Amino acid sequence: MIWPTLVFAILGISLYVYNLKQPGNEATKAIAVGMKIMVRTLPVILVAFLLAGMIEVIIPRAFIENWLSTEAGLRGAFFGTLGGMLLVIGPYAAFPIIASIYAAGGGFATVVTLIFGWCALGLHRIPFESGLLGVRFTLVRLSITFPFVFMAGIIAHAIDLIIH
Amino acid sequence: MRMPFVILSIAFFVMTFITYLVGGWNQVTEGFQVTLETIPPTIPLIVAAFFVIGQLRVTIKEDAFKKWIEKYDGFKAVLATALLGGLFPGPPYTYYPFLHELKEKDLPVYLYYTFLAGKHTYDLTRLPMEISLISPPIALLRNVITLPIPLLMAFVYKMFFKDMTTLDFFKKFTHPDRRDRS
Repeated sequence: MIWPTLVFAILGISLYVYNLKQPGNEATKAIAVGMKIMVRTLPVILVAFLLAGMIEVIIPRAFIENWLSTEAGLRGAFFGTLGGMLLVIGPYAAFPIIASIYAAGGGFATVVTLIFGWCALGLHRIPFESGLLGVRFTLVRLSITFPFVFMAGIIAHAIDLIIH
Repeated sequence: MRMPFVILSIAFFVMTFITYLVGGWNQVTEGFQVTLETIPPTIPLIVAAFFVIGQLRVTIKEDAFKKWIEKYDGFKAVLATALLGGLFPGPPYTYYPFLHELKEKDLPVYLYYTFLAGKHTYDLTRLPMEISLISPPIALLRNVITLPIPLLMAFVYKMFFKDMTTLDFFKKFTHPDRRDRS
C-alpha cells in the first residue's frame, strides 16, 4: 500500500500546487471538498469493509470454485458481469466487496467483470439515465455494453490462464 | 449517502446472522478479524485518495468540456470525447444533467454514448478508490484490458446511428410529453 499512497500524495500535492495558482483560493476549497466527501462516505466505507469481511468468511469454497474461480472459466465472467450490474451501491461500498470475493478465491475474469460490470452496467445509475435521457436511450446503451463487459472477462480469463 | 448506508447496514446484519447460523460466533469473529486486518493499512491511502478527488473536482470544470466536445470530428472526436468522459468529475447526478443539457447542441449520437462509455470506463476520480480498495495490480490490469473498449463501442454506436444527431434521436425516441418538459 506504500507505493499507491506515495503516488496519490505526489499527485495530490501537484494538483494542490496547480490549484494554488488559480484565482479564488481554489486549493483550499479543494481540500474542503475532498474532506467533506470523505467524511460523508466514511460510514459507508466502514460498513462495506465489515460486510466484505463477513462475505470473505461465509462464501462457500465450493461455490467460489464452481462459479467464480479461474477454474469456473467463462461462467465466472458471466456471473461477474451480472453481479457487477446488480451491485447497486457506490464505489466505496462495491470495491471492498469485490476485493473480498477476490480474496476468497474469485478468478481474475470474475473480478474484472465485477468491476467493469459495476462501472458500465451498474443499475444504480438507471434512474438518472432513464429519467433524464429516456428509457430507450438507456436500453440501447445497456444492450451494447453488456457483450463488451463479457468480452473484457474473456480477455481477463485468457490472461489469467497465461499467468498461471 | 444515507440510502447506501442503510442498505449496506441491513446487508451486513443479514450476512452476520447467516454467518452465525453457519459457523457460530467463531466464524463471526473471524469475519470481524478480516475487517480489522484490512482497514488499518488502507487508511493513509483512503485519505490520500480523497485529497486527490477533492483537487480533481475543483481543477476540472464543465465549461471546458462543452467547448472540447464541439471542437473535434472523426476519430479525434471519439478519442477526445471518451477521454473527456473519463476526466469529467462527479457521480451520476452531475454528468447526466450535463448530458441532458447537451441534448439541444445537435451532437452526433455516437459521441453522446462514447462520452458515457469513457466516463464509465476511465473515470479518473474513481481510480484512486479502485486502486486503494481493491489492489493496484488488479486495477492496473482491469484498466489495461478495458482501455480500448470505449473506442470499440464508439465504432458500434456509429454503425447503428450513423450521423444521427442528438436532436433527431430525442425527437424520434422520446415521448412527446417528456420532450415538452425538456
